[in-house]
Amino acid sequence: MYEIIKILNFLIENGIFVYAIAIFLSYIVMAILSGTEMVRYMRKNSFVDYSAIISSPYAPPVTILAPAYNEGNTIIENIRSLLSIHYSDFEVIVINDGSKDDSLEKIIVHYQLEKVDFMVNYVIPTKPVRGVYKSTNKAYSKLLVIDKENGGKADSLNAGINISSKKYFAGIDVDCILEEDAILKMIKPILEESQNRVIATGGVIRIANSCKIKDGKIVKINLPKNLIARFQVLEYTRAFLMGRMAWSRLNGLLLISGAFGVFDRDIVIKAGGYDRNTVGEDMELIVRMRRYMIEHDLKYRIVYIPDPLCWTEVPDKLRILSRQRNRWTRGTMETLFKHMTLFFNPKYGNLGMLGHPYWFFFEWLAPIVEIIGIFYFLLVLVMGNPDWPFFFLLLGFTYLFAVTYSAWAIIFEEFTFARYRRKRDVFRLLVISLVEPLYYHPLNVWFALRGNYDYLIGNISWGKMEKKGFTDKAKIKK
Amino acid sequence: MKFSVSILFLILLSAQKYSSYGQESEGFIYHIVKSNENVYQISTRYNCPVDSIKSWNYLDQNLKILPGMKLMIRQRSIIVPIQLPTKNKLTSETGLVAINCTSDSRKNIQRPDSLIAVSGNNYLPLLSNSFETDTVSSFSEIILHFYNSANSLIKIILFLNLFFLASVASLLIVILNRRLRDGYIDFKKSKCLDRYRDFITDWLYEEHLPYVPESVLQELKDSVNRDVFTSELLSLHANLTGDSADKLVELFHLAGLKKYSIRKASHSSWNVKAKGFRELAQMKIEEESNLISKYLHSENDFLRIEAQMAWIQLNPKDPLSFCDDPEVNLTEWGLLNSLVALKKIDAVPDFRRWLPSLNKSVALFALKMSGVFKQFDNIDLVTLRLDDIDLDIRHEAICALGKMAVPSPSYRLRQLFLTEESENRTEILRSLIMMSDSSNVPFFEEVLLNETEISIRILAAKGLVSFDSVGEEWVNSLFEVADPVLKTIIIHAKDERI
Repeated sequence: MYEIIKILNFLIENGIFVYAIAIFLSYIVMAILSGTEMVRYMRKNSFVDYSAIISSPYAPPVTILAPAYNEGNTIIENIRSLLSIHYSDFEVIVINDGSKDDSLEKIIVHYQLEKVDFMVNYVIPTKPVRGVYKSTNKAYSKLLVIDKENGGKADSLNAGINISSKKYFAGIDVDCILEEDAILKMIKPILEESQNRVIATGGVIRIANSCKIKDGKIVKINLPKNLIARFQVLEYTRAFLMGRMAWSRLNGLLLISGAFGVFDRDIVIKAGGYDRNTVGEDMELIVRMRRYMIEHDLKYRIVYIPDPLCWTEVPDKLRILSRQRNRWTRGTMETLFKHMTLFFNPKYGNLGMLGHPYWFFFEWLAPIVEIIGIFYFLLVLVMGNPDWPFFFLLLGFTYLFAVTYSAWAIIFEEFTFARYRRKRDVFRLLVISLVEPLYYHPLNVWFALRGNYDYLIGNISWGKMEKKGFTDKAKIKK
Repeated sequence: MKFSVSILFLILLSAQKYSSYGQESEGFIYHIVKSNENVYQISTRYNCPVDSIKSWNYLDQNLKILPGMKLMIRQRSIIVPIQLPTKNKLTSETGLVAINCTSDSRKNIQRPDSLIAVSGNNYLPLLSNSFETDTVSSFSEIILHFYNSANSLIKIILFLNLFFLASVASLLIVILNRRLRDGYIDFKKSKCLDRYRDFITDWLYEEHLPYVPESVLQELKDSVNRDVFTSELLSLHANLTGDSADKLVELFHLAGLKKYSIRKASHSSWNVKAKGFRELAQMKIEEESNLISKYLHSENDFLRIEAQMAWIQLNPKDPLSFCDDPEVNLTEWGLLNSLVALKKIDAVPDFRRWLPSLNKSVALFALKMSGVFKQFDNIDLVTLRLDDIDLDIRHEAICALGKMAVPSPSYRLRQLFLTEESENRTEILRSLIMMSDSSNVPFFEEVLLNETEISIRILAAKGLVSFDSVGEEWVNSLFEVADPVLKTIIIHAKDERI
């Protein structure tokens, strides 16, 4: 017994120490990579003349796919916002995923739609399409609405992919607010590569809570008044500006948020479309597309651009946030375990040796290791006696590391896009970064653990049920 | 998860290294010698041999100890809590932790060589945390004492903590500084922007002065003012043509901005250089084109595209001469930009020259442009490229033929259809529809009836429908005998909205 305890003790203490050092180092490396990539990006785009390209009829055609489920309150506004995008050749396909409210009727009346006889080609199998609508008004000729039986977000997107005919498609959440030149900026990296085929581009998601919105456009950007949303501003800034940019540079990106990404339709179809049996369909698709490209020996890239192009409302209540994080955790686990063959598989290059293991260890495992650590600490507290000065020193170290890291993220934002123009807002963000590790972070760990628990339980009983529909969209009255 | 840059509290863990678990733990405790105590009494009290106490504490042969002295006792079994002198507040409370007896005022006990050696689970060095309060009088001394007695790991962490603190503070200052500077520049800009805008419009539409007033020239020596002026002038120029555009070029020269543009074009950092190229091109400063030509084949994609665009605008006679180089690498983004630039100079070269190019990107470019500018003379060369082994080139050639919409190559396309891959087949049908050549009708019919892929069948039906009234008849006759799937396809194809 004593031996076992001793070995366990040794393993936990050493393991966690090594793990912690690895995770800190990886953050530092990512920050440096992101930094250099951002500098390059900002320089090269400081003098791009987009207006000439907008008017050019030779820019590649793009379909915007916007799945909607029970969005009746805002759907008219959202569609108007989508139709006002600046791009030469695009269409907007809104997919009504069997909404139970009156959203379809509202759209039909407002946009003067009528049913057309559309020969749906089920390249990717989906739930049956009940009808395809086009407007009788020429002003809305770019709009197409699909009415289908409820099958979840992935299923809706697949239906949209089947019906769209253009070379690229952008998958977005219907309640997102896109900047006018969003599509153009997302298409640009695809055109810039000549050696590799760019199969997807991801964009930054920004937080629209408390921003002034008029006619489907952001007119004034404010820091959210709500504390939970404010924490997320910091979190998103850090993740997008310091994390994803680095992964883009390494061509190891595993995730393009479902809220906004442009994809090569052809490759998506070849890879099999969105997976309907996961709650993390956005991540799963990217992993599968990458696998497809590598297994067919094709040169490819997945690119990320840091411009703030897509604004969305984030949960401002803990209950909703908890459900969102819970879902994200389950999505990650499903994707990671489904593609376990990638794990340290040299055949898959960066994806196998870097991307997958990173997500496995530092995204999925992190909250678990953390909770083990806390329990272990409590055990020691009860049974023995911790080395207090050393403890506080290390605590201070982790805390200060977190704060410094956040501060760097704020600096990145400040030197690139600086969307929060008021000085007050920046200082508020800094204050938030001081509080975050103490309040918001533990909450997140808790939500992630609940996600793990639900994943394990769900495998036995009720997991499948919840996957239908857009279960927990943050609904905020505008 | 997706955004978790988890800030780990797990390091907490490393903090408990030296804790013990009640029983069977090895470690040192210490005993403070009271008056009239000797080593033998102590050895019986702690149930350990005298020799051990001697060796642990480096005692001399006489086993001489003095009251107040600390003796280290190694514990094997259950640890006996020791009462600590009350004054000794800073010592570890229970004595379960190994104690390093730092040399105190009495200096009787030597410090063990290495605490690592005596620590029970000893992979991390120990923190020494025992010192006597009566020798430490102030807070700073406590800190200093703590620092001196700490091992290197602790020192590193301490140092890092200080570094983090300092960096957060300095980042704060950086942000403040930047905000202030930005505010100042914005203020300066707003002050002069309207004035310059008025000045430039006056220059264009009011009475035309042969020189720029001295006051303006003076102001333009300031870099912020100059930037505002230049960008105002250039953006206005971009939207003008003819006489007024020439006037602006004249103003540019008179205001002495040329030398700044040249300076930019020779700047060492590439983004400034690219800006310089753009200004030179827009202002038609041809004598500097050798500055640009160096970068036509630059490794840097963006600089290269800028250079190429500038080259096109500065050499209207032979704008695309850089395409002759077999090594040149044109991205699609570059193509779009070149197209814009070509439209600006309004002189389209004959792309015949590059159609047979072995360089893939040049060939693609030439094919695309032949289609866009409908250079019908090149049809023969474009058709030749239909046999290319490269899928992309074939694809582009098909597109180009479709854009030209001349019926002559339709036979060749129909043949190609039989061997092509699905993506190109769709494109072939699209091109054939554009050509509206009645010899395609049987082909469309066959595809519509025999193909399995629905998207291709729809296109074929669209091809039939495209022949207005004649096509309608064919389609209607087909419709009468069609199965449900075919019926839907035909209805779909007839609907012009989709």
